[in-house]
Amino acid sequence: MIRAGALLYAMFLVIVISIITSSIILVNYYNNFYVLGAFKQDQLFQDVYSGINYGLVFNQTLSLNQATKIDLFADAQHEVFLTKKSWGAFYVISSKATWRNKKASKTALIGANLNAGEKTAIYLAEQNKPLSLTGLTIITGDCYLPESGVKRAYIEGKSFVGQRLINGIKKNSNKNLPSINKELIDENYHRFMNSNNDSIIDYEVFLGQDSITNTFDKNTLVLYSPFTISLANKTIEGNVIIRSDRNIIIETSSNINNIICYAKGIIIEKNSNINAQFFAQDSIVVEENCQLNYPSVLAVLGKGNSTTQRKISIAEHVTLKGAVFLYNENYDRKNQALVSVGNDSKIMGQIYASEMLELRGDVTGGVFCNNFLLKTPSSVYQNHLMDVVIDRTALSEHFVGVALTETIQQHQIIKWLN
Amino acid sequence: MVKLKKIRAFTILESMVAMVIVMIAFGLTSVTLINIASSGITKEKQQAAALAKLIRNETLQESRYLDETITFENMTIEKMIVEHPLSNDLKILQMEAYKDKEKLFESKEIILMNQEL
Repeated sequence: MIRAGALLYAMFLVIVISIITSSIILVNYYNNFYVLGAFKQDQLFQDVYSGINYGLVFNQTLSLNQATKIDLFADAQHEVFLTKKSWGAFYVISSKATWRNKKASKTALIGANLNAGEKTAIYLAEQNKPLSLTGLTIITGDCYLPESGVKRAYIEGKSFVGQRLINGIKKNSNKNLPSINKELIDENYHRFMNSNNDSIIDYEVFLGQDSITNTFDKNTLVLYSPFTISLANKTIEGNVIIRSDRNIIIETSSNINNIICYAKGIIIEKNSNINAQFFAQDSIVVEENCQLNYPSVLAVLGKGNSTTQRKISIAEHVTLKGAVFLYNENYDRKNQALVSVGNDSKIMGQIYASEMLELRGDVTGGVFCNNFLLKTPSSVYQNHLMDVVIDRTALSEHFVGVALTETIQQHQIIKWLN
Repeated sequence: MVKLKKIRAFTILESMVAMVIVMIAFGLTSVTLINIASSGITKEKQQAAALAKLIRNETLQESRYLDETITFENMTIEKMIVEHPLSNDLKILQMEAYKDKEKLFESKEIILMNQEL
């Protein structure tokens, strides 16, 4: 029989060694787990960015409001879910990737790169009347004009004082304006009445709240009222739509960012400094000294007949970066739709007026209209421009706007939303 | 007179068995530790990943879309710009890190090329 005295010491030593070893194994395991997690998180973010890039190029093939699974490298290792939804005149694209309990997502507001299309300064429909310029009018960029062309005019004691009538190539325009993007009109017109998968809440519920924020990874929050909505002393930001069956009034004290407003009529009070998209059925009025930051949109979508004149009225000293467009389905000779831009106002982007455009401010970008209107104290002139600067070449190569008249495949990020 | 207390000694057989057990325990421990140290995510792999990430960020910031091989100490990073099978506007930025022909790290991502305007 062997006595077990020494074995006891040996067993004790073995236990100590095994405790130390298992501690080391545990530390190593957690270290590996942590580092692997960090690696995977990095990879998820790379996949998410890859997904956004993929979505920018294959934007047209992604179905609206539906998550599409994309295997980025066809290896089942890098899969993302892309979701595209329309956000006013733009699109919101979001990319999500998951691995075990780790998640990564990015959402971006995207638009069309205008420089991928035609760089048109003026498109004036053929109405058998030439474009007449007077005062200090500078037009830079290619122009589509009536066959009768462009000429100097002398009105209100002013004659044309520029060097050249047009600094660009003159092309002949058609009788009709290039038709406006139908999908853009239909998608937003539908929003006046319906809200897809959105959470609709009565605006009155939020009357007492100073601040409303909704992120783009949630359902759109629609604040609806059958009556006129007046936004004062409120901060509203993000994935929020404000819809009224009557009017929406944006008071100077309101602070709104990224949201969309749908109503019959919209009034933006003077000195407002906002960033939003506004869609009206009848009229939009922007009062003096307002600043509508990039990307802002003013749009009147007129379907059916109207007893009143459909118009977008931009007062003096207004700055808008984005797009202004008015679409009137049925032409009414007595009630022609009008876009007017006041003195010293600056529009950076595009203006599309399916009927008349009264332009007194400056445009860095392109202008599309059926005819120009110039009102002076003594008379009203058709197809006249006075003291106006339209410069298409000054629009940044990287300006991302709304594809109003052509299908632009090239989409770019306007801003990250998360 | 002090009476000495007798301590019972271990037998040679007893001591040898104990020594064998301790040696086996030490042996298994060292094998396990060596395995742990050489498997999983080593410091080298972490270093390779960090280096690849740095080069990836520089590539994107400077729009340097060309194939490159960068050697750092005894590590080699291979950067490849591969055509995307579905679009000319997209490329695949592929990064691979090697040490002595052993692949330590790899990553792939889709990048949007600066389109000519």
